[in-house]
Amino acid sequence: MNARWLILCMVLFCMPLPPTYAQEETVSAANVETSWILSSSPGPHEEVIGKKPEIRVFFTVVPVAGSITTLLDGVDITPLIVPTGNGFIYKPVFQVAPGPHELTISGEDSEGNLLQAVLPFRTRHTKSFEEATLNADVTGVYTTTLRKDAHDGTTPYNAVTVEGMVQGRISEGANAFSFEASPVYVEQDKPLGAGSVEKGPDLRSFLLRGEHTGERLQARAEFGDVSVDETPFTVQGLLRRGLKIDLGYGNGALSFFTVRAPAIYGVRNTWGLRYEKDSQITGGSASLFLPCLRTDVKATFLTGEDDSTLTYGISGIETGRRTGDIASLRITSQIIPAALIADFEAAYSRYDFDDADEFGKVSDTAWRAALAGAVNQYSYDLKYEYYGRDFESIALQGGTKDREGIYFTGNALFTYHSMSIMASAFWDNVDDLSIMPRTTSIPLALDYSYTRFAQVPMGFSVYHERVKTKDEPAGFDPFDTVTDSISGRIGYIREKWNTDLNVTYTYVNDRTRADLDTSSGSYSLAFTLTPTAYWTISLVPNLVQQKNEKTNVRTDIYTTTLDLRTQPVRDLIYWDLMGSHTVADATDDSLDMETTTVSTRLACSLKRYSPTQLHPVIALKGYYQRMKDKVADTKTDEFAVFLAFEINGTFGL
Amino acid sequence: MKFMKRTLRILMFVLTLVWGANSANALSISTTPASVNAAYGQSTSVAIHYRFDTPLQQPLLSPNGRFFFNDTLIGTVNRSLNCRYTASEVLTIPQHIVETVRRAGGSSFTFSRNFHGTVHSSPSVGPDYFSADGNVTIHITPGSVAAFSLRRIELYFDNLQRKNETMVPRNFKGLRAYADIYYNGSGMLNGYWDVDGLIIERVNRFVPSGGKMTLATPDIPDLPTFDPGYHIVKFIVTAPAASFEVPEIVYWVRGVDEPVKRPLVLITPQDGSDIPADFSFTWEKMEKAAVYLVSFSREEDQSVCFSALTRNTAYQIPPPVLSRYFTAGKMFLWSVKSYDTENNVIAESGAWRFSLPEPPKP
Repeated sequence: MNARWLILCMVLFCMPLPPTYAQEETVSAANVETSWILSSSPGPHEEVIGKKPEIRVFFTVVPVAGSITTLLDGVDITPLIVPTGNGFIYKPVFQVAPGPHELTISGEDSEGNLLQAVLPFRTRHTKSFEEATLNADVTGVYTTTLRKDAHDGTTPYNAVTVEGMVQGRISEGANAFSFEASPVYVEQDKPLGAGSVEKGPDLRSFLLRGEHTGERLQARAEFGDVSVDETPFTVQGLLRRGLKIDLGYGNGALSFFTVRAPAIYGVRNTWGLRYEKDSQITGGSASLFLPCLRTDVKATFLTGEDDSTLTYGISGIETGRRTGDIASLRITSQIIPAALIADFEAAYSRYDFDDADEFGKVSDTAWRAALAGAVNQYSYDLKYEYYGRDFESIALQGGTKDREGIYFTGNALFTYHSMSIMASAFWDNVDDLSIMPRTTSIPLALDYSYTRFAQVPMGFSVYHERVKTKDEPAGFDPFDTVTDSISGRIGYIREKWNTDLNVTYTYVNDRTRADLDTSSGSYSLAFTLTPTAYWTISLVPNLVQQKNEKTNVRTDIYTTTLDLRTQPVRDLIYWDLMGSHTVADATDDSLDMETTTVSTRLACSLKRYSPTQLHPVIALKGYYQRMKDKVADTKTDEFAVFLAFEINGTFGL
Repeated sequence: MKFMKRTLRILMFVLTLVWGANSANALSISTTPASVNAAYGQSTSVAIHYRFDTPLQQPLLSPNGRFFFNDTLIGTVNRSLNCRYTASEVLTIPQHIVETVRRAGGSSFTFSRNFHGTVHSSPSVGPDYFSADGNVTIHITPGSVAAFSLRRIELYFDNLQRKNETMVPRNFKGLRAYADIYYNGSGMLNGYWDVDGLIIERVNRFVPSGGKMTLATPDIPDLPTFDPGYHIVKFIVTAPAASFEVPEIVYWVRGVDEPVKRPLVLITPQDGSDIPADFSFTWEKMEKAAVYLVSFSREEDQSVCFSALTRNTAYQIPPPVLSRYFTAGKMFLWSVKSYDTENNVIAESGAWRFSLPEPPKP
């Protein structure tokens, strides 16, 4: 064993190292002679106030012309410096981030001696704050209706909308405060339809954030529309109005959040400041990283109530007040970093789907164990999951429950090929209740892409799934279906145009006595033409067919979409159009419908007559929609034309 | 005498009822489907269709629907329904009804509607009293084989951050809306994406059992962003019938254009070339370009090792930089971005490979 090590060390010692073009020279402020620099602004270690501070350097020994190389924070700015006879001036192109910077200058004197200097300096935005930025972007639109249908009682004759985004940030040392808010204003002479947007001023979303980034202690507090992300069993990707606090010290971290259960648009109804007893989710987590074991241990708990049915962006069937709490323990370990990562989570939930009924909270458990990793061009994910019959998190409503199963996904990425496979098997009725059947589902999937020809990307996917019941109670018809789906895709990409063909065919074989087989196909061809950077035309014909194999009834839906984004006169005239034509037809004459939709805008930019920060535009807009239902013998036409004046302003400090 | 008259009237009324009840025997009602599977642990919505065997001249009323388990009333749906010949409703089977039956040890129960009322068939004959029951048998099953029904729809824009409202510049490319659809069972899902009342795509696809799927608006064309102002996106489901309102999300389009990012063409050195140390990297001039950023990165990890700013369309790596950041014999990548006077990226090249030769051996 020792001899092997000795040989290996000798081989490594004798291996030639890659040559470099000159001796590696680590230039630092400490060891570089700067006597050839007479003065500079900013001076060495000086702190200057400004976002684009002008840099001036004066030499005592002027380097030979063409020999100067100047780097600012490692970026070569030599082509942008302006020589001044005995020095140079540099006016930064981009904003210089606040904090420490390093200007490195090198050259040769007339005798060929190497001249080098490093000038460290600091910048700050204002005297009070190291960083202080404020950016605002506002767009106002006034629209007047030139023509609309006589029966159209909802389209306003005059409407005004103002929308904006304001972002700001100040920081000093390890502390920072930032905010972003999106003010909007809507007014029109007709009532707005029922929905999220309301007349008058509003803030569609906002977020205030305070941060401390110390060497040991990190802290962050957020108020507004915050995103809560803990573990897969408790809460993930929950964007809600409320408060969130994260603390980190060394290898430990604490998190606390309290957010409103329903999604909220705007602040007209609530800022989310008040704790709502019936619709609030509150929780927290504590985690500890054990470096010696490369393991993270995290405990999470949350509790909450939700009485919402239709909230912003979300609608569901449940109507009562749901209450629940959940606790989880998660352990993640990098057994072999990147190659073998183990992830384990166990959770316990108590949940009441309607606290007005006679049933109280029901408790249950869930757990999962997963192994994942990547080795060279291969990656894999293998996991077992168990969700109890009554398991539910108040923050993940509608999620999985009453299921256990094993899942595997594998990916391989080669130079010209990539492939992924998925295989799983899962069962429900985990408690084996005799009143219900037990269902077994076995889905298998394969996806393959061939990328040898960059101009002709292609691939295919295959999907197979069997769903079957067993132990059916009396009176229950067995369920046994096999679903097979195959899809293919191929594209052709050229500089000025490209096309893409997608085809999918699915057959569902009902293996029970009912024999209710169905099939469906989807055929889509996308064609995009870009003759210049200012013209894009997309045409997408699409056919979707579904067929009941037992009754032989087939439904066809043909859709053709046209999308046009153009500038007939660059930066002056804009013409955009989106249109679609859909024909839906069933062979049993139960459906025969045509829908045509066109929306367009012809605009003229008035930017040349306005200050730089303003973008005024005058536009003619219109839409047309025609729906013809031959079965119901109805036809509707909607047509409206508008004149709009739009102005956008962008401001920054 | 008065008492006699009143007694006679009551007798007539009772006789009418009895006669009416006899008439009701002649009226039968069929329900479609006759039986449905309700998911355990979830509420389930199903469309129920009622049909009399004979059309009536006037509709009969069912003031409510009732859930029965072993002939015991366990719940009521307080929604009236009129039917002259056919009628339909979207029935929500609440989770607590399923739980009640399960706790009582049952595997199935019944939903029943009684349609009744008097109908004046003709002026010569008195009113006919009709009464008929429409029954649906409900089996408790796991969600995967329950009746295909929607439980929840969540809309959002950003697939990673799940933002439910956003603001984009005019003619922004790639804006898509997503719908997480939670459902029981499996079946054909029909619906359409609607933006400001205009249909932008019809969806018609088979949904396998699994409980959740995510739909997205098309990639080409993406959501229309050419009109500044606010736009409302909905995903409207036409089948299966849903018992809840359709949610909506809003996106706002700014009155300023997304900067058009054009391809920037690299000229020399050709992709994969070995180049001498004093070689000039060149590219095509880009209109409105105020400055170019030339980036060099190592091929092995694609990390940027060095970059330079220039207003020209050529750049030569200075010797001090060459010795500090580059290694002979190794492969590097180079690419160029151009910026306008407002520091927007207006053009971007792909990355080309190059390597520097080994220095001559002494």
